[in-house]
Amino acid sequence: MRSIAYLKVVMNIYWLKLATVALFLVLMISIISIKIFSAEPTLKIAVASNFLTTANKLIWTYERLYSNEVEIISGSTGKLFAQINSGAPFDLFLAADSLRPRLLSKTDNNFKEDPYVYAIGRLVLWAPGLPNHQKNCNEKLLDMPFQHIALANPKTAPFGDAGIQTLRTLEKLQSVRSKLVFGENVGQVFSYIVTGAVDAGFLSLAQVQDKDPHRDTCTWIIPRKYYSDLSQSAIILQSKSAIAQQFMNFLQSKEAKIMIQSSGYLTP
Amino acid sequence: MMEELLQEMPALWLTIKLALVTTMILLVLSTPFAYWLAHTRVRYRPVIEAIVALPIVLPPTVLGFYFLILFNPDGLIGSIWQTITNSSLLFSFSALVIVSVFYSLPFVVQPLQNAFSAIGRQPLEKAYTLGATPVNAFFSILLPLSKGGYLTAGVLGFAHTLGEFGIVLMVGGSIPNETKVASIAIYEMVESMQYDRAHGLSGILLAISFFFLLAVYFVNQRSNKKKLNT
Repeated sequence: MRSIAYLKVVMNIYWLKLATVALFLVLMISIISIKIFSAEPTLKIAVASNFLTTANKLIWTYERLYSNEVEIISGSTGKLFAQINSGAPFDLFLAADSLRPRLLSKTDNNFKEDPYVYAIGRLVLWAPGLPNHQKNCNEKLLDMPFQHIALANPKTAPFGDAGIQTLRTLEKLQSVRSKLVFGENVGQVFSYIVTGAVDAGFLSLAQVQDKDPHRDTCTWIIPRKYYSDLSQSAIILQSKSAIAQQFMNFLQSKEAKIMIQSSGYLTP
Repeated sequence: MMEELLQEMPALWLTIKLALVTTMILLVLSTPFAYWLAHTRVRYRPVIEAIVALPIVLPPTVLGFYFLILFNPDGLIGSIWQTITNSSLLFSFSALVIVSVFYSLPFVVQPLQNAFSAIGRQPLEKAYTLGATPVNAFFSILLPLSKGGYLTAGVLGFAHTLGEFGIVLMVGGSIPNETKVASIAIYEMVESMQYDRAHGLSGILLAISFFFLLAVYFVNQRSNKKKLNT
């Protein structure tokens, strides 16, 4: 008790109070300024969520080759596009389609370079509840008595659109329409499948390959003739940035292409 | 212009339906619960109160994640639902209602609890000694005395459900007429570059929310004046 009374007396001394406040302010300012001033000039890359795991692998290599730091901002292509249009400070945009990068290169004079197709996605229908050696791991999956089949939103996600096109080509859209559940993007479709919320879903091969590298589960790699295009383009957003150009060159290198292919994409 | 507005009706109607159903359920469930909370002397009351207030603090993603696991066909609630109704709970309107009831619970319970503790135990106890049935006592004593509390609870519950987004995004599945509420529809419009439609629907929601709140504050102001005059 004595010590508390003593503390109270001390705290009443005016300059001590002031010093406490000052110390607190100095601490706050230093914390904030560490954040602001110590930041190296990093490369900010906006990555479509379906390419995120592959992008991480690429960037791991890139950072070791060129010792530049890279910051990744991931999200759906539509959301990132809207953010870029509103002036988001990204240097590069790895989209999940070619439409939006092309729109950017047309509308804004800052983007002088043409978009580059860095990967071509491959659509799969994944039903991990079934083993892969089954004869049904093809379009027959669509006739299975599944309760729900998940699909990324066709309006916003290219893989969702490709899924709808496949269903349309095979004339299955009517029969499975009541089973369809829409995820915000392929990432959410993935989590719907993994948590058991749905029986099957349309995904990017890269996602399945990541989860099941030996393909033990039922994965139907959908033939490319069933959907139109899943090419994914990259575009430099800050044309003055030399590092952005450097990363773009890296993306076109043989080494990067091999990594992209082994992740489950095709390259041009 | 009318046609453009009409095509947004399903999402808008679904949102209002969800908010109405949720508010109804919450008002009924919260009445005995809030009354108990207001007058109980049990020592674990702070625990219950903390649990009720959780949705205010927790990110919607946390709730959404837990509900996704609980609701899936093998999950605790999902499996029970499956055996009873023979349909999946996830991605259904019912799932959204359950989720919204939890999400908006504190916004209904707390105003009611405040109203009930302001009234105290006496009025109801007197009514009982005069031979009133619980239902009778509720409608003739408790409800008139806590009118303001019910209004606040109803409005906050409704408005909070109207503004729901994160949880629905996680457990909804964006199915038209079932789980695609207005906030989700707007999100998709922005993502798919349909800014005109996003403007239309956002404007409608803004107007609804504003006039709804405006009406409440007007009523509040008038009842405050009445109190001052008497």
